[in-house]
Amino acid sequence: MTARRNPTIRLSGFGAATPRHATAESIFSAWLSGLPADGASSERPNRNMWQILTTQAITAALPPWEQRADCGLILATTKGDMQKVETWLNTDDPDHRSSPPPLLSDDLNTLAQQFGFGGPKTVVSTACSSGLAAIIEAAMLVQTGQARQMVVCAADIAGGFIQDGFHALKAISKSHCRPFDRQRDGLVLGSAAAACLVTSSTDPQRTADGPSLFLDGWGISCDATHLTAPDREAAGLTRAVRAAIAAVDSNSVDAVILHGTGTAYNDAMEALAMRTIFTHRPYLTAAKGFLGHTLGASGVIELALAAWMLHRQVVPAITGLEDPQWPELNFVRKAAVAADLKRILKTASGFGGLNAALAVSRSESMGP
Amino acid sequence: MNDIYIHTIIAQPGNGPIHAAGNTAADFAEETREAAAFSPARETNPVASQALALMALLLHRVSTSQRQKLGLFIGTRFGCLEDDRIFQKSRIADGGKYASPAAFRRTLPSTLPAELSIAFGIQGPLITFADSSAPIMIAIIRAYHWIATGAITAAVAGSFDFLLTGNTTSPATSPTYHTLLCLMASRETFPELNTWATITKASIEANRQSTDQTEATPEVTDFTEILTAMGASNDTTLNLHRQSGTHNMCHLEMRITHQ
Repeated sequence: MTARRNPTIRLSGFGAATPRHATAESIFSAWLSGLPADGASSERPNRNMWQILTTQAITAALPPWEQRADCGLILATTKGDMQKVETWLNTDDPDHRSSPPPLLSDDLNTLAQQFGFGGPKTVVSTACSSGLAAIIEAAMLVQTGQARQMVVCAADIAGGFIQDGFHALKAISKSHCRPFDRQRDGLVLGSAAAACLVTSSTDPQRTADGPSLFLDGWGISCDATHLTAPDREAAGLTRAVRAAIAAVDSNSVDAVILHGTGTAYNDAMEALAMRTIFTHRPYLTAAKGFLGHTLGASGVIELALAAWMLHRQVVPAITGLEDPQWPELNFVRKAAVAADLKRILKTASGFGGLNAALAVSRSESMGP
Repeated sequence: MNDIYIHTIIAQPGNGPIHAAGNTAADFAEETREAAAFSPARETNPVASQALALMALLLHRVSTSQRQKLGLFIGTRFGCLEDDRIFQKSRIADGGKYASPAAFRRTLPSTLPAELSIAFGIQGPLITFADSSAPIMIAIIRAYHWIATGAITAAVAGSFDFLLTGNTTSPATSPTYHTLLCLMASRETFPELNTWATITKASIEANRQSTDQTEATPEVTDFTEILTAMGASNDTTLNLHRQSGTHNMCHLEMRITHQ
């Protein structure tokens, strides 16, 4: 567990792409308008989806060409370009003598070369908390002077390998994802990429387009209890959230975008954490009922949605939530709520009991 | 910059001997039973068994409450590809009807680090880095900066890798695997522990001298390099430099302070 106040870190240039949407703004608008769920449970990704989505997402976060020599890149992902991995796994050469293994670092290097990033580069893979963990890593690299600016790109493609795995775990909903609903019965998978530019706020020339955020604090923790199930006592997530809001008044958190997978144990764990941590009742929303669970991409794409929430001053409803199991909590359902939003908390939890939380507030800048 | 110590570093190539520095083999004697207790269950993945055993040795003088506060920073080249292969076999068997949930839950690069956190009660940050060339150096460098900024006071950093390559029926191309782990901390965290080295510089920088946009992926990681460094004599300074991906250069400078 860690607690850091990051008054000097700004997040901007939020890019996001799904098979149906090409920008973070269009995803936010679709979620806000209550369009049907965007999850891709029944869809099979096409061959180039990894390249298409990552390119769309990174393009929005890119600094000008002349600044890329000192801009680093973190790729956050659970599985990387699974099309390549599945091709390798299905090769006719069972001993894999002729085909080099597909490495996550190859995915990183391909993106780095494509866009000309010259600063530090690495791959962060911490299951479904990968995106938020990568932003924390990027913020630390900027704060410690290891990098002047960093682009974080978070991406995962829900191909057959992953779909079959979640089916084997009996984690897939039979109908649709209903986070925090009494009738919830599992998640729906989605494919996505999302990106943002991480800079020092004292470096005003380094801001990308669109709404931007200040990183007020972060926390990251391990449950240390189970390889796939969350801690029933929510101790790990509670530690991460408390660390993220340690430097601010907890009552100043106006809304939370929860991980909200729609699985029985994850949602119960998160509800317990919210009841434990907050004495007031911030708006609680979650995007996976609309987006599907985009795995390692989910943290950054949902942070992009947080930026648009703060910009538009509105909290979208949780798609699929009709009958909350925890009515004492302030879940936003059925219709979006206009609100005076200054600070949002974003949480993520993943296999292995890996939790991360970011507290962010609105930066006045809309970028260049 | 703050002094960050490597108290103990421990490594094992495949089923070869265990190498350790900062603590002697005698220090480990009492703990061999704890280490052995982790070994038998994972026949399909020897590196999981190895990593659990080495972790038990590494942390044998670290109390439960101290373990809870540790961070865990692990680098890997191949990640979970071998586990991917096991799950894939279960997918295609019997027409795809019986994909194995037990195999699937191991198909993440962060699975084994998470297993270590569970086995040893580590509740701090856990981050897995994928790098083809310098996974150990990246893990150590990042742990160094997490400790130096005060975000945590101590961490386990290191690497594991396992991939079946070549014809597995031939001894000459038998599966290769290895684990390397080190216990790192700020100066005041573990005053009772021996110290192997003091880290004096740790950075990942742009390699300005390189103009090659298509640098080949190295065939080996930094495991052998670090293993060799473990044999350095007292009062020497180690300067490790290693290319990591395209235009990345890892620097690690350490002063050996105890043997």
